[in-house]
Amino acid sequence: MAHAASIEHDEHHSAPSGFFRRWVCSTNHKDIGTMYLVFSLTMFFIGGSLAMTIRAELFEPGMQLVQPYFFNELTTMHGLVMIFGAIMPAFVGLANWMLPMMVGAPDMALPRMNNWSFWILPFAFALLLSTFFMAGGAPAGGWTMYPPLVLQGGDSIAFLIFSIHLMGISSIMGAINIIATVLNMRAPGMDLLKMPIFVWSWLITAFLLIAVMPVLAGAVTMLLTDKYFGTSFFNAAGGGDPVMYQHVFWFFGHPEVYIMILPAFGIISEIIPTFSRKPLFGYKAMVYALACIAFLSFTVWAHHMFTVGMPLGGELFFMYATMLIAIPTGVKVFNWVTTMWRGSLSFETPMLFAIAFVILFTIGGFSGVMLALVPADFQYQDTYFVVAHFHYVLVTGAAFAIMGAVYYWIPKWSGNMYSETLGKVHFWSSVISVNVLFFPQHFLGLAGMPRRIPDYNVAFANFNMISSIGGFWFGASQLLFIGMIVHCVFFSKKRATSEVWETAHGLEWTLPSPAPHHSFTVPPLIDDSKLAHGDVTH
Amino acid sequence: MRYMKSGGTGRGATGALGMLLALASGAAMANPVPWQLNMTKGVTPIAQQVYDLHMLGFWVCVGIGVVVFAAMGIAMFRFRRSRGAVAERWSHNTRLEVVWTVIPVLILIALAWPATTLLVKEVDTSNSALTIKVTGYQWKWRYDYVDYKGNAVSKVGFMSKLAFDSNKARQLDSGIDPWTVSDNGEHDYLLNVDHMLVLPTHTKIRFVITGGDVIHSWWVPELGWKIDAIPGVVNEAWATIDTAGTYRGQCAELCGQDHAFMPIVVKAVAPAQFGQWLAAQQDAANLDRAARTAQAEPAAAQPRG
Amino acid sequence: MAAMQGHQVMSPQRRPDSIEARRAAARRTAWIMGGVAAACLLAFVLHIVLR
Repeated sequence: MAHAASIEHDEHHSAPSGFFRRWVCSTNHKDIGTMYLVFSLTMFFIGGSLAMTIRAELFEPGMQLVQPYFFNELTTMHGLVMIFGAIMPAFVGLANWMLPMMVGAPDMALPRMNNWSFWILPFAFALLLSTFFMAGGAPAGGWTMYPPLVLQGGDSIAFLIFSIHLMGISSIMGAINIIATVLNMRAPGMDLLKMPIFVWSWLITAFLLIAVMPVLAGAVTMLLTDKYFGTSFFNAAGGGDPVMYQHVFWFFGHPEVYIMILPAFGIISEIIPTFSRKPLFGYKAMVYALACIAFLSFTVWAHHMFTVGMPLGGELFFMYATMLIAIPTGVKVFNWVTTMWRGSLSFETPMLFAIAFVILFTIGGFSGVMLALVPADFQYQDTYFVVAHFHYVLVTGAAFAIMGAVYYWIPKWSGNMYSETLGKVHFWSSVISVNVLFFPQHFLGLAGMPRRIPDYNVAFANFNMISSIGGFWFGASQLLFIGMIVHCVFFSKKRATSEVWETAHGLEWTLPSPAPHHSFTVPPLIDDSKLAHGDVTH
Repeated sequence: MRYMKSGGTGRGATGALGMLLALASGAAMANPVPWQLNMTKGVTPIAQQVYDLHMLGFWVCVGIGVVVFAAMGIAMFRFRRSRGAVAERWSHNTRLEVVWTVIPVLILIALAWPATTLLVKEVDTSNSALTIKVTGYQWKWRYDYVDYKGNAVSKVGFMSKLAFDSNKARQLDSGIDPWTVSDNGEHDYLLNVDHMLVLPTHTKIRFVITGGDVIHSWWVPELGWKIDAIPGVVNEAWATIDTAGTYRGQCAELCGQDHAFMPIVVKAVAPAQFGQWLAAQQDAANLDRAARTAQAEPAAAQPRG
Repeated sequence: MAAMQGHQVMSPQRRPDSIEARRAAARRTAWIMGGVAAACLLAFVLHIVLR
């Protein structure tokens, strides 16, 4: 292959020396990707420790550990840290690492902006987390920041809003970079419909980000002027409307949900064909389903607010639109299952996470369909049923996909194989505990337990205790994940081959492991048979 | 944890037994019980239909789940490489893809139809015999009786907040075991109030709901719905309660530090009894405003400095 | 390969081969997408102000 020549040009150790020059001044997509992933993992553990405190307080009825107001700070910050700090940066990190290698580009299109996108984040989260140590405490109005409640908070609100502005800028710049890279930097011959699904999923996600992050920035700016500059956008006494905030917020918030799941779909669409040794079933349908979900995500926002008293027509429209999303999502699930059908399956850790994703994300999707039924939602809304639903989608959905992706690509990043034993123990421990953690929450919600409460009636005691035990177990299991990463990167003796997995297709597997600091400085010649989807007739 | 008594498991078992007995005797689950798995059937015709819709959605999901997960299970068993499976190369089948696009559409229509008809019924608040105004405050509810059987009711209204014993027990490190908070053997920790909302059975009751400070949400699961109490917005909902009893709920929208501590208790009584109660309240209000205040808000009756 | 050409959505010839030219095109795309983001913000502000 012609690009073999280019690899020999690349110096394996051409990275600049010195921490400051190598990392702080980095314009290299691989180094920036690594920084995103490390940052995300750090935030995952910070958000996770907040969750552990929440589960400890909910271990049994009665108030044992924290004051109710601090509990609200915990739930609020858990949501913000996990969504904006853990899940989104993890996907951006994966995009940074993999997208240029998958499309045969030497780097991201705008490497210096890439540096800026990343380095804004630590400052944004330093601001956000610093509010815990302020007089008046951290924001406590929920991650959705509904007025008028959120405006009762102290000056932490200003810090919250500024940090969201920073995260928004970071996300928008990251999204622009991804779009420019995918549209303009592909190697000749890497046509749009030959791109790996992960690249497709990120291209579509990036458009969602560009469309909705400015809306979030606008909404929180209106909160800021309501609090400090005497406006009344959301203040009923001044002629404003608190419900309008919810409409604006969820116009951002629902596409945001898909920002956190479409790249996961992409990852699963890479992993399942590799370990089924069979091409992805219905490639084009998968791309169209992604686009269809992204489009529909702009039309369903008010299903988060069925109980605000919308007119009948509004309730019906948002119910029907929401149910419609089940169709492209169903197509994706059916296609993954059919990809496995008559394949030759093996169950390395990435495949285990992918299979768990398909099953558990589907369960989260089922409760999503139930939640779409407005009269039933009048019962489910704001209960633990909803908490269970979105944790199935985000933890066993997004987070499991990220973990699967790390197992799948870490040999390519580090040049070493991870310990399959450690990976399998981590997987089984996680997948069992996460169900112990979240499945009983369906029962709690149906029995009548509202969400965001620090204390509850004794009838809810049993399932809360089970859920908390599952929570501590799941939290502890993630230490194995750290252990796996440290072992793989620094201690593993087993070298990875270029292809890493037998029958893994795609340009990234034509590079040596670890991937050289600079790859594809000369565009590779595309050999269709080496692509995950070289056959464009399907 | 400190208050974890050795009897915790025993209590759980008693609760489970209690629920089994309740199921066996055919009694509706009026309030949450330990180990409760499913939504209440409620005490209004609408709540029953909501339950039916919920179960329809549930069984549809179970059906699809069985098919999808069975296919995955078979694939994982039959087509594993360790059993010598050889991968085939096909990667699309248009007919199949059309089939599993169209079938879900039909299933969703089958779900949307009953949901739509039920929703249309739920929003129709016309021809009600009693109007209650509900106002959410941090962290209590105010109930005002607006009209009954076409006659305006004046000055009958009161605040309803967390019962004293629950409030004492829920303080951080109170040393009080929540299991000891009970009334007539019912564990009503955090689900009891000082003044219940008294309502008649077999009467179409219209609720008008608003918020006094931040957004709250008024939810009694037995009535089959919740609706937000929003400042500057007046929302409407209705219920016709079939069975007399005491039904408990909670605020369902995050409203600040004591969000968990503003329960809702509805006491449904026979219409005749309700008429007497309302008349007594009306008389008291008309004759002696101070007496009414004292009854509804004992604390307010204290001499002010 | 030749038979495949008809199915390709964007043929290689339509995109420049040299990395400099591709980078220049990428910068144009980035400015356009930045403009789209700004337009989204503007549309939102107008929506609120003219409501």
